[in-house]
Amino acid sequence: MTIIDCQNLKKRYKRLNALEDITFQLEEKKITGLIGRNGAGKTTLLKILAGFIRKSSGDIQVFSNNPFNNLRVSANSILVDDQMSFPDSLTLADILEVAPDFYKRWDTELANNLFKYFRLNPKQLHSRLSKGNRATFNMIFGLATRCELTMFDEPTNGMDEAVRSDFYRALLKDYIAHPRSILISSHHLAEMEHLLEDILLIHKGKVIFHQSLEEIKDYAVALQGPTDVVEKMTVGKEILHTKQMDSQRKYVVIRTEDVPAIEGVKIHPVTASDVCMYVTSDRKGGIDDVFK
Amino acid sequence: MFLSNSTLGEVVWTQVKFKVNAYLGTLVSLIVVQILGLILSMNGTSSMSTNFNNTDFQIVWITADTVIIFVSIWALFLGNVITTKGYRNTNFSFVTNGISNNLSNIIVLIIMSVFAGVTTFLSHYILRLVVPLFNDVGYVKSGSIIDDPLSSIASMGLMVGLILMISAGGYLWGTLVYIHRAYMFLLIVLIITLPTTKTGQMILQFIFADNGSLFVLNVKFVCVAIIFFVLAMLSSYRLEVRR
Repeated sequence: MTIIDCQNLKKRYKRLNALEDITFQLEEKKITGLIGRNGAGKTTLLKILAGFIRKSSGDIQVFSNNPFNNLRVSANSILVDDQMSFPDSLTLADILEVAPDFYKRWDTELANNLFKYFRLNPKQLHSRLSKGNRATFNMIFGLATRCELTMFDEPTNGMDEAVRSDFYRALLKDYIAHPRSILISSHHLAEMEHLLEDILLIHKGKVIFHQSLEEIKDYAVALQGPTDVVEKMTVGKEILHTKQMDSQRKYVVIRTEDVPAIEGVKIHPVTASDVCMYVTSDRKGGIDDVFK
Repeated sequence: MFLSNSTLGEVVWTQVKFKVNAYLGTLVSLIVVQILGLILSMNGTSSMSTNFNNTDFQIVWITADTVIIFVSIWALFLGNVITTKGYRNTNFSFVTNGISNNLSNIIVLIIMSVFAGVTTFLSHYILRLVVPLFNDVGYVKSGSIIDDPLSSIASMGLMVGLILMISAGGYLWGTLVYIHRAYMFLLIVLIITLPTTKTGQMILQFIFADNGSLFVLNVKFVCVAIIFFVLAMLSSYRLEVRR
């Protein structure tokens, strides 16, 4: 069943077109990575999906409803981001206590176990938590709601290395135990690649691709070898990225195709993370060219 | 796929419980405001001196009017503060939508107004108890709740209606300012023009003067409160959160 159906979705802010033209569909019970550069529109898209902000035009259906101001969407989805806030009159323990009233499938056991594991102080106030601990608490809250559509916006911001890997592990384990649709945005694709089935890559408010991770891994190859040979091989091809290694050798990334084996030219696979970076790059060359 | 279906009523009820719990701190501020008002009322709110047969009389009225004024300001502030960004974002961390958020806010304001109205009415009994302890002047007490329960209940209801109307005003004000800051100036202009222009005076006179009984006045208070709440709900329908 389709959870999210987005057709030509646009969102305009006063001086900015945050979303230009977003069209995609999300099937149920998949973990999808929402990938994009800074300012690509990831957060805007998630907020529209959660019903916090209005679309400007186009069509959006979450559980076959327009999410804005919709109670059904609100009851079955959650957006975990760093803007989540809770009243200062409630301690963390109080928050976990009132949550089951709102979320019918709240998993008290999971919430309490994770809470203990991450050694959060039950008497602490949410606003007084450190950035990392707040992110951890929000993550626990998000997982425990067990909403059919669970969205995380940059969930690992502020978490330390150990907590990050624990978070990914917890997410995966809970997903396997209770499959549901999870949409997780990040600019660190590499560290959560092992979780994802699909990737939704957006750039400047447009969907670049929505494919399985495997397809993206096979999207491009890199050729590395003597500059003149590599340049000859890549003539007329779509070049995604180039880098001058030294005065003789060049590194060029092109769309995957059968490249004849040539002496001195090495063919490398390109990671999904690099593919996403290259296809969303606006400039030829890299930061090195700035310093020439 | 299993989707939980919550009705509007369920969500509003859950939110009311949550908000009453979360906003308990505002009751502390209410009590502080009331105590402050009571302390300031000890010397009397108005006085009159007269001379009769070479004897000086001074009549001092000791009322809880100061408490009422203080509590009114508190109610205005309360209605206003729960519409601010922090409170709004907090509410939207749980299941809610614009309508349930407004309805639960309104119910919370009604509960708070009833509590504030009843306690404010009763606060003048504290004055009756405390003031005679400090000086030995002759006191003439007005009727108490036992002497005249009906009129006391009517006054109590009036207090609740007044506080509700003021908090509704604060709520509408807060909602409009949240939508756009420019409304702040509009409202200030409105507040200045209302008592200074003829039409404004007529409106004020219709609501607050020209009333046959306290009951009619109270009904008008509640009607104004309802108008304020409905306007706030209509104007906030398209409002976004966590912007």
